[in-house]
Amino acid sequence: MLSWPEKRDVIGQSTPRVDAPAKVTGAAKYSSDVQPEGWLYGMIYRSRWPAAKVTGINIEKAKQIPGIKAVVVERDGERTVRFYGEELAAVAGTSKQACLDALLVIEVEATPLPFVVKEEAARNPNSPRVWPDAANLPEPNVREKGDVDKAFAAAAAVVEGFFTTPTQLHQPLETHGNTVSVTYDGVTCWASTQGIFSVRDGLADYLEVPHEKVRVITDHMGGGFGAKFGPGAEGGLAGRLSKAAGAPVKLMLTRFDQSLAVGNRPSSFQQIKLGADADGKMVAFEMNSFGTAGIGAGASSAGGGGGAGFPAPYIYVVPNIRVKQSSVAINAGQARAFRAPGHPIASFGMESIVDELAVKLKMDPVELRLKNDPNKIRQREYAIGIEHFGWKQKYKPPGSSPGPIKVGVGCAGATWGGGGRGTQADVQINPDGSVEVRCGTQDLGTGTRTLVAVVAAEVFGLKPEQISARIGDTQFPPSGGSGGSTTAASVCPAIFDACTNALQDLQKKTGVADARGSNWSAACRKLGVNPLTSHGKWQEGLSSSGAGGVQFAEVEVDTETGFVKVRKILCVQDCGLIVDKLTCETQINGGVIMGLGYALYEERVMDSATGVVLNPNFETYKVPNFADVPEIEVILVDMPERGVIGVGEPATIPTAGAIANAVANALGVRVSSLPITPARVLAALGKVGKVGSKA
Amino acid sequence: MNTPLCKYLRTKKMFVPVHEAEALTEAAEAGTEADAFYWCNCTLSEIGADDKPAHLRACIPGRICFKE
Repeated sequence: MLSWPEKRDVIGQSTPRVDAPAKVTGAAKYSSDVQPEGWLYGMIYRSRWPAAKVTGINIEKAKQIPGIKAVVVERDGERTVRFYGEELAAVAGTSKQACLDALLVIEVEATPLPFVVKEEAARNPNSPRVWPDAANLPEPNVREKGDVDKAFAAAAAVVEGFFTTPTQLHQPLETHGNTVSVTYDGVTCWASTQGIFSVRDGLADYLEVPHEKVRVITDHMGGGFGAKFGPGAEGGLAGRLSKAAGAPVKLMLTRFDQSLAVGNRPSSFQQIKLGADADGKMVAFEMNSFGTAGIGAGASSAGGGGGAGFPAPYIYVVPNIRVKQSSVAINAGQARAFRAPGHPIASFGMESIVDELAVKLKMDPVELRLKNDPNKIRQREYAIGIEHFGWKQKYKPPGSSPGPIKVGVGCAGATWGGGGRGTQADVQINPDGSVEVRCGTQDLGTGTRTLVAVVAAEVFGLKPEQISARIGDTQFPPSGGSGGSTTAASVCPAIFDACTNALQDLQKKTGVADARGSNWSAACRKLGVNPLTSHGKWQEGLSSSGAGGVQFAEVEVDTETGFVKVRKILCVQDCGLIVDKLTCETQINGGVIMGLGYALYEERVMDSATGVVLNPNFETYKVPNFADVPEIEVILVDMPERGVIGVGEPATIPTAGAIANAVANALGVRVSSLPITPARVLAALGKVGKVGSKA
Repeated sequence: MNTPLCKYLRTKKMFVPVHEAEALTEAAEAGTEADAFYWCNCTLSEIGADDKPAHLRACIPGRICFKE
């Protein structure tokens, strides 16, 4: 069985991105930058009704607009639309303005239907049904263990709380979209995707062409957080437009489109009760929760929650539990996977009630966690965090901070699976000593290309910049989609195997006993004029799954304005073998910043009267900017014996819970709904009226 | 699941090799982890060709758009 080298020269160091020069000079072409010859703009005509029966779509006038080369209807025949923004038709033209003009003259015959866009209203059996044959609110999923009622009756301390989290919109800097070229010879798609082979699979079925006739390229892409799998409706429509127009069509969603129809993190409303004995050992947990995954929720999904379920009780072992979860359908865009699906929701509710329990027991919150969290890695991480954060000096009784600007601290933990499998790679060693590594993975912006170069450089005794890491093309050996924090753990072992094979082949062919490092050039020259190519694949023993991670937050809260400023986040994170310390740290930074947005700013706001998303742009849907970002300290717990474990997801999970606990510690009262806006802070302090949870 | 599923039913885990085997199983809907969302490769939408939702328990024989 292969194993990572005991002594590592490149792996584990802080290696700058190998594609950084291309990115900062603009040479790197993102999927949205691609402009094949003769390309056309593509745009989508979307439903203006949150619910309606559509009986006809007339595209004839749109076809007559100057510059318009193709117009297609998304689906023939009568249909029902179920949310504002559902795709109805698409246009392709020589300019953006031509497309906008064409969208204006598409005529739709539609009969508006009753609709509901708020979770609380949708739960009412008398509310309009999203799906006529199924209730909006299905029977809950129920899980029960032990004797909950008896355990609560015997508990020394019992706390209860109602916690809500918002629908969070997917907002990568590069919106969803593709440029698709359909010719007699096949289909080429430049996709902003987390899975090039998933796009190939989707386009092949949708356009009815063989897989081998579809090539998908993702050289650089601007972020994906779980929702960019498959070509999406926008990819399929771009393909049909290209076929109709006989030209490539670039259909990148507008920010408005992005906010309506390509997924979101479901909302949650969690009624939680937690009991413990006098020593702080948790004995009983009960939760009744609901949330929405938009049109994907409700009884129509035949028992599934459409993404609105989440693990509970989160990370702590409680012997007696009763959990009832349901997901209610509303007339809004469907949820999709969103960075650590379910976990930030679960973490916020659970970590909030744990801190409430600590207050009731008059116990240090970290001490309470250590009593109830059996995970050895998190125990170790809490110990590191206590020391580095100065927890014992900083933690004060809730609300005891003096003055109008109050300071508080909080903490929270996380768990995530990850793991790797299923990647293959080719390595080509050229007589001039250059090395090309080819792998059909994709780099979401996390640094996958750099990881490929780092692993290859380690094996060959070279520098990462000497490796040409070629990824993002379905013509390369296959790899899986980048989801679930599995990319590093899937790709790195395959690259290691392929490079190890290549090194052995080179040494065998040239007779050079050790071709690495300073011997490399001479050994490669012995190849003559023909390159050497070797293959490799993911191997057992080089990766594993299961990451923990804890975070500590320090905040200051202005009790006169309600403004929360996060001073510092400390993240103590394990991720197995660290391949590139720099990319690992930056990915954690990104996770923390996303968690900050979830904690303080982000929330989709639906309008009950019109059914529209009221904040479908960055003016009204706030994400963190640089001024909002606190000091982020990352302590990596290096565990090379575990092999590679992904880190994309765990770092975003506990941030909101840690911040919420810090705010509660500062104020002495809890803001139990995310995002923790100034209005909600002032409401918690009794200075303004209660702010709705947007249900 | 023992029931045959439509060949066009998709979910994210199918494209993530470490989760591929469990992608279309009851366990994926057990409620202990975040449950899944599905789409139809025929429509590239969460809604199938018959205007009903794509889902593990719905894209089965008997549905008008079902393809083996």
